[in-house]
Amino acid sequence: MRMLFFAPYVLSEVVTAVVWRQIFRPSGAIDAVISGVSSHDFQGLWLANPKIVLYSLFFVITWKYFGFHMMIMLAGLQQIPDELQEAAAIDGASSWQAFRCITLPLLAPAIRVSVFLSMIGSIQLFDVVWVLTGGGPINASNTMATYMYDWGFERHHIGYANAVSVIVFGLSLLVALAYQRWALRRDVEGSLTAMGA
Amino acid sequence: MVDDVVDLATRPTQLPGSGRRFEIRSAVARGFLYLVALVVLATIILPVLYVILGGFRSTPQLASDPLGLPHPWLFSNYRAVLGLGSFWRQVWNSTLIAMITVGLVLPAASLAAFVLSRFRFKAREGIYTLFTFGLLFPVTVAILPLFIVVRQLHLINSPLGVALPQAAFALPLSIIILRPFFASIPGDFEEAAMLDGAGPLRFYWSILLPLSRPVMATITVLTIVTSWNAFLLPLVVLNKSVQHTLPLGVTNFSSQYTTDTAKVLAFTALSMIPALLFYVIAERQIVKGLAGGAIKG
Repeated sequence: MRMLFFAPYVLSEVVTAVVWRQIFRPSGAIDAVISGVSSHDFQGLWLANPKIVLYSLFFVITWKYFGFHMMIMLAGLQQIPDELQEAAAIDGASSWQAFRCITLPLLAPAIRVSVFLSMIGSIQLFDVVWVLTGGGPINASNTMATYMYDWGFERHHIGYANAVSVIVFGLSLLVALAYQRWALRRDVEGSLTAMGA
Repeated sequence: MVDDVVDLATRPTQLPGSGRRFEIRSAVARGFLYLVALVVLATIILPVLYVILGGFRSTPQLASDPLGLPHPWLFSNYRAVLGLGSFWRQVWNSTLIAMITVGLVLPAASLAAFVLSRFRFKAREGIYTLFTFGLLFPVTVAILPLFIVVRQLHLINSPLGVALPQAAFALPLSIIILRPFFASIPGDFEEAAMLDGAGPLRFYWSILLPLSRPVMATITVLTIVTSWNAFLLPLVVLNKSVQHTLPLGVTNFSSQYTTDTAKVLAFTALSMIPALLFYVIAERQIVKGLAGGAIKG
């Protein structure tokens, strides 16, 4: 079962994007589901409406990386000793209380790592967006990386694109250092290094 | 809540030894959690199934009823894609680039980690930190200067033009995974080897590497998967369609045959198979590598 949850993570971002382009297409699978439920013809402009396209992208990216973050949480869960649950049960805690007061706080390091990786990943997001929307419609879904690629390799303003990439690098460095300083430092000492992938 | 308390009161003896991590005692809550898990699982799996099954249908079938099962089952799409010379060439290109990358990463990363873990010298931590900073410097950010350097080396349209940068960018993570593992191998081994007259390289080759097989496997898997899925670097470096890797091929194919949905789905499904197969075979290594790299360090 776990393996099934993990399957999308193994697919490349490109394949993911191609798959979802087929599903999102007008009168495609998603439209058919909604038409079936609401019993009248429905056409959602999932990728063509500038106001919707970002939410479609959020969904696709969540779909792809769900398994990865689940794996981080699982690794975190395995580090919580069973005794704590037992002690809580003996003290009369309900399962919700045990989750709220034991599991969640002890899972915090895993959650912080997960949030960190999501942030860094989003700053550099390119493949999914480029294949799924190309940054459009009307730039509504451009990320910093697609913007840079657009200027550098499509319009051949290499200098300008370089400026963009320096700023992207500065931003992600800033985010990484700030997050490390304020959030991650309580977990592991000096572990800029520990944040893999 | 009341339910829980009663439950606790009536069966107190079962609790300590029960061995279950999360005992959720209310049936409603348990049912609800299972329902959530099932919905998430369906959301994750259905798109993959949609692609695979869609490949067995015809485009008119897909247009008239996007959700139906194949009826009748058509094998022509898959057969057509498997008969494409370009498909197999892309598989070969992807494989070749992945192999070269691994061939570069394994010796480079393990030798670097060997020196950084088993020798004591002044700049050691400084060099290690430098490597770790590589993690914050991904290909996306470096793509423009990288492109210019690759062009100056006349490696545009060559597999090496992709493999060399990929190997370089795989080094930080590999070294970070390898170093603690190497460091944890007891010094006694080294002493014994030295007494038997082995030099450092001999120790590295005959003792360290054989002991590190699992962690080397993790790195191999991570490197292959990353290389296999890479898009931006091949997109920039490989301009000729003869050189294209699978991700580039999938994108091109899907924009070339926009009207023939069924064939696009078949092509996409076939290009998913190597990654999925590889994952099934190497699952444990991937998970171990990810969990180790992400949490411990």
